[in-house]
Amino acid sequence: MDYIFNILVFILIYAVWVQSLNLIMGYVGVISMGHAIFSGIGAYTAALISVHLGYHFLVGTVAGFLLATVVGALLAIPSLRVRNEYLIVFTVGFQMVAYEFMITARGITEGQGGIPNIPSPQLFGFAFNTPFKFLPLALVTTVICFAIVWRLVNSPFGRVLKAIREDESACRALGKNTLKFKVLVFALGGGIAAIAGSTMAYFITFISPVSFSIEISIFIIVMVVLGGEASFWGPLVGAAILVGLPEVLRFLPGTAGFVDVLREIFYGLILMFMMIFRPQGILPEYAAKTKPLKGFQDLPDEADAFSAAEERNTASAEEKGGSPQALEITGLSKSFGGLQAVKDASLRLASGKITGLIGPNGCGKTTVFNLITGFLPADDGKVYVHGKEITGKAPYKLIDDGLVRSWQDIRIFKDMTVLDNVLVARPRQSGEEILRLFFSPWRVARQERENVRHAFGYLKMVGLTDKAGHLAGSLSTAEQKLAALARLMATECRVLLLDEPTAALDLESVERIIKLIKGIAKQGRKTILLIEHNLDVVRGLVEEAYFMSEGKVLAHGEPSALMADPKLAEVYFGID
Amino acid sequence: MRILIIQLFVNGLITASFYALAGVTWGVIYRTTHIFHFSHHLVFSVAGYAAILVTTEAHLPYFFSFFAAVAVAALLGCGIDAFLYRPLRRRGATQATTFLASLGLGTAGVALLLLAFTSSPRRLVGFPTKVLSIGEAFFSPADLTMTIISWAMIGSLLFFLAKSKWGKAIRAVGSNVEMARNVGLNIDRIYLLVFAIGSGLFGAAAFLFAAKNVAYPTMGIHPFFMSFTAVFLGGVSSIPGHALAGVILGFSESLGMLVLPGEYKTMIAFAILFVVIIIRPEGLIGMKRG
Repeated sequence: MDYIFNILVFILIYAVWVQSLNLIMGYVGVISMGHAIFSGIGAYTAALISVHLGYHFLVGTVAGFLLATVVGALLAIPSLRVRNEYLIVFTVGFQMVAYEFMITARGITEGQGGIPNIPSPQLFGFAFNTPFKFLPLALVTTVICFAIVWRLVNSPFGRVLKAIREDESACRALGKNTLKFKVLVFALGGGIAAIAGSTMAYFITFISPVSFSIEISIFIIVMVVLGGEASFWGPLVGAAILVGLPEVLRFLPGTAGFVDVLREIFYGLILMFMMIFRPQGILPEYAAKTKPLKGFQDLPDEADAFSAAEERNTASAEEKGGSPQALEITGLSKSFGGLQAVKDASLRLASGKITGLIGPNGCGKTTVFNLITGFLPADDGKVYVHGKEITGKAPYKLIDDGLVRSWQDIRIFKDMTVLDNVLVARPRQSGEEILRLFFSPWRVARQERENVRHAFGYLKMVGLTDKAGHLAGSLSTAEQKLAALARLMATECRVLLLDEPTAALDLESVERIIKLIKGIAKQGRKTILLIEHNLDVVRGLVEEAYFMSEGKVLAHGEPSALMADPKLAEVYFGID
Repeated sequence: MRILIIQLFVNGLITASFYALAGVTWGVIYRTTHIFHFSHHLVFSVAGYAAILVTTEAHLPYFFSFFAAVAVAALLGCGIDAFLYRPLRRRGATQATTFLASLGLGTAGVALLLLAFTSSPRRLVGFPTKVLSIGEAFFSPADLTMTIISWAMIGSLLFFLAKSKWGKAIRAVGSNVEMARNVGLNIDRIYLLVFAIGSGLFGAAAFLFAAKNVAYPTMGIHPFFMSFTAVFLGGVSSIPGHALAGVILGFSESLGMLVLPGEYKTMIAFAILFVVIIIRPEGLIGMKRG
């Protein structure tokens, strides 16, 4: 019987280990090639503390968790700051270096031979010293770790993680410090892996470097992929299958070495074929999705979005001193190599007005948006929102200044529900902070209800309440653009930068969006800068427009007047 | 001490040449395709065995090993692109998905090599082993070959990229795929070409490695680690940067032995990369990607 319990304990330990990587790989979409080492940190910390200092196993476990979290943050900050694939580079290096350290630093780790005689854990006089007795401890550990992950991913925090995986830039534009989220998750994932490691050390009472080699790191990745990335129960399935499998293979004829090689081949093939044929894994993330929606029924009638949205806004605008210019740009310039994309552009947007930014394709309009919102660093020039300088601020910080942008290519989070798309854009959510999530759950829940109510208000405004529970990717282009507008409004920003909100739409949808934008500006008292190609839309919406060509602002004035200018018309339509 | 320093310097030059070559092979692929081509190490190992088998099974002179290694590597690289990456690309797979598929292929492939050839090291039969010397520095014919061929290949690659029509197309695709597609370049064909070049050159490196040392199934791991470390250290956008970074890694590994035991060579490379990325995320001579 001990044989079965032994396997069960291993499955539970691996499930925790795999879940911790699933949190990183599945929910945020970044890859760690050194996940075995985090477990190793937990295992060695626990072993050293218990063997040399004789401390309680809980002390060893917590110490391992903390150390792994810190190491995780140190790896994640410099690499994720650049790009996600730098984390692959760093973790491969970390895996190799740390493994070498385990083997060569004999004074600390006792080298290849490992550390024997780790005391079995005890609690209230009960010793967990047989597989059967250890099972409850492993079970409790697993339940706690799974509960922590559950809370993290099914919360406003988890919603941001999904949005990051879907489209990180769009997520930053909505005011999320995506680097912070990614680093936190990576560090925490490392910490949870360390718990798996220390539990393993206390179970086997012996550890050696072999358990934390790069093959094991890959093995953990295979389990995540097999179970299904971002699937909550996937890690349990993956661990059960792949920990159980070698036990079955054990009965195959052949030497142990031969079976090991077969297993490697099998793992590699699983990884490759899962990616080709079933990247979502055995238990796909949305197997049972499209959740029933609460909050829709008790939507108050007066939740007419324009007013609902404005509760907080009006006050804050007055506070800010009411500079007549909602947005002012002076002398903005940017060149890429030899190409001057934007040259000395200056714009002023009067509060509460819609201003157009027009010009032929490739004249630098979107680059201007990217410069204003900090997605590109400007070479020169300044940007002010309500009189406050924001030049060079990171994109996610601009929400606090009341500035938000939309995207030409919509960039809705396609694998999230329409409601979640709007909810994620709500500012200042306490449920996005890990400590609040665990220590003031009621406050988080209250705020979430409030946000759901607001979100439905915005969905009502764009006429998508009945699609709230659908995946955004299943919507038509026109509906996606409407959802994106609702998402934009949900940020409560005063200044909106709209990049071609009606492009690629049929006439009827264009009409609808024009009406909506007018309403947003008027009832919602928003200031809007609008990039638009459709001149009818421009005429219908805008009183004043800036005309750009080859990176320069050539003229500004009333749109019909601009279009009547033969020189500008020539530039715009390219007529001789 | 003086003799030791001279010898370490010569060793450094040899290793530096090898790492510089390794760096540009992965660099030309990554800069162009942005695929985190992890199974590059498998290409190295397979090419290494191809070189060995030409001498031990086909009983041909070692001279042919070189061409066998290059051809097998180039074919394998193209195959990986055509039959693994291209279908994934068509489906719009993310970079992470492609990476995982590549990781799987590399893992399974090396295990297959283990199954076929076991883990015992194999020698390149017939390669001269007589020790040469200049002054107080000693080196083998394999060392000399490694240094000369590495730089010849790096030089040819840089010349090809800078001057030839195809080289310009490769650079264009690497800088802006959309724009390259719009001017009518066949992206799939250019990817294939890049995989042929990068893998073929890495195959040559595998021949040099097998001649200098021995061949074994996991022989590709360390050179591959050094190649992508060189790419990120030098800066993704600059192929000469990858070679320069390879040189830095080679010399620091060798001269590092003055103060540290040999077991720490990966640690030195990783420490350099870690520090440089913190100070200069775009790499030593790379440009920021917009």
